[in-house]
Amino acid sequence: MQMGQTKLQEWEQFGQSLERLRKGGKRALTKLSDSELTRLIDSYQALTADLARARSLNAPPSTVRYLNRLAVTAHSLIYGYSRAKEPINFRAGYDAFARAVRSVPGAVLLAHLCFWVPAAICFFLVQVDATLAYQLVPPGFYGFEPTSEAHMHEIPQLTRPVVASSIIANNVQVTFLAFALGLSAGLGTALLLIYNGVHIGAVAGWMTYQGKGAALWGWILPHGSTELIAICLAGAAGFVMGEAIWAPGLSTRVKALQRAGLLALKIELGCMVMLLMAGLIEGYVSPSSINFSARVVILVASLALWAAYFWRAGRENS
Amino acid sequence: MRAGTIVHTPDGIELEIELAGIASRATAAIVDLILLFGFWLAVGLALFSGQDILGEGIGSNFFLSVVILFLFLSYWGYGVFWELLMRGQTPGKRLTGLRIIREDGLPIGLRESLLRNLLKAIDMQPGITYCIGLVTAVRDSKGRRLGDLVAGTVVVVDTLKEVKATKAGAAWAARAEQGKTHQALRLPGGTLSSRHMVMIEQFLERRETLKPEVREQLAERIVNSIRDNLGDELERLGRKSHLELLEKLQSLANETEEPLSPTPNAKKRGSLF
Repeated sequence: MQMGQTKLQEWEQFGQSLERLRKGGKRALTKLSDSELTRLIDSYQALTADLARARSLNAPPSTVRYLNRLAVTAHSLIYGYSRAKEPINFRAGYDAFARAVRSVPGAVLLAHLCFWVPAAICFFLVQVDATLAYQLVPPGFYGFEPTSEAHMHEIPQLTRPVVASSIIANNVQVTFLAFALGLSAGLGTALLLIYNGVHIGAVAGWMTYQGKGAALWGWILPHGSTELIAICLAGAAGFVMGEAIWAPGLSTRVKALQRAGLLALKIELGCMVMLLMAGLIEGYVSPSSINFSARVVILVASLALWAAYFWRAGRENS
Repeated sequence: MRAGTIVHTPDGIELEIELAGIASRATAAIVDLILLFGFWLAVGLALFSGQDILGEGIGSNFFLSVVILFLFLSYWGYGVFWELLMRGQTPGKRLTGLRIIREDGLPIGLRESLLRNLLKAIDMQPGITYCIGLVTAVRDSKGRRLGDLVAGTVVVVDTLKEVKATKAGAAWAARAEQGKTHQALRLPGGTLSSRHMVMIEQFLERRETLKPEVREQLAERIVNSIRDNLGDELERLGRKSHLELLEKLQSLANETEEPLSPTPNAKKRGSLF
């Protein structure tokens, strides 16, 4: 019995030192001296040997379970730091977003179609038959005055930060959904894009029908391109995951999804940055008193900027 | 043992890591939610009590916009923040002894954490009921919700609280070190195979956890199943209860010395041996 007791003590001591190390937090291992570290590794190896022996020599199940837990805890401590240092590289992220978008032209095109086609159809339908607006446009917009001179002053300087931050939070949440709904094989993403397209198209149609078109476009132009491109790209991220479900290729669906998930994540993160910019413009620039031509200039500039970015960024020879 | 996932470590060991159950994961999620609400409440109270200093600050629009962004970021960023800080644990998971790891056993990094937390957007549907995540986790062999599936992560049990070495473990270690292990027990009247001896030992180890009736029933079934192997040895061991008989057999096995070698029925595990 004597020898069994020493084994038991060995395990218990190892368990206690693991608990201590775990309580020591993130830097616990780096604080150990060389000899302490060597001893930890040695006892880990001795323990894994005991574990293997316990399994092959039919130790009582509770003992196998105990040794296994010790080994798992030790493993997560010892190997837990190998990937700890992964500095966030903004330059790499800047390139990766553009590259990721370029690598999935089909999904990007599909997302834009899902959004813009219903938008255009609804816009024209409302022109032809204005009563349709009562089905398509939310009641709040019936009497909405977008950015008539009067309306611009309805968003006073002081409330602009609130508008900006709530718009950013809301839009980013929509892109989370567009991205995550890709897991419904892309169907949910498509529905979300179509729903938003119908909504925006109908509202724009209604405003134009009422002769408030110029005011509406003036309002939308500065931030619209950035915001709508970002939402469509989040949809594309959803479609990338949806594609992995429809056509996983030579790997299993789960493996294909994990690969697609990484690509989609890059796109989704980029979209969040775009929406941050769009929200700031929407909160500060769109409600300001700059004139219509200045708004068009901002639209053209931002479109050109995005075109240049998605075309050039992250290319080998750039 | 609950369902486990097998992880091959770089040093050639196979670890069978226990997967977290639905109940403990739900507990962890609820604890995290309570902590988040508590955090919001604390920040809110701190700001309101500082109202005099801030003056008009609390009602100002700039302040309100910061609050909106703060709520949004703390809600969506809670998981990522803690999982990176505590190597795959949120406070709720630490309390319930759970940890998120990659399927290959390594700790999760930024990308895994971001993916599984962003995809909560679908796992929490409909509303915030987490029905989708629950159904996928129950259906999946590794208990993964959709976010785990895409991120390539599993939630596992990582605590030393519920396990401890037992007397039986010490006895096993002693036997193993002295070169004795489960071997067939040869008695004058019959032979019990090593498999029988393992069965007897495992039953005896569990006996305290069983209800008396169940214990008796099991002991009887085991004795019945070895009756043929023992033959007339049963008479020689004397009239005892089933339980006593099994204890007698185990102590006999512990007295005989046999060289250490894997029992024939030992499962092949790993490549170490």
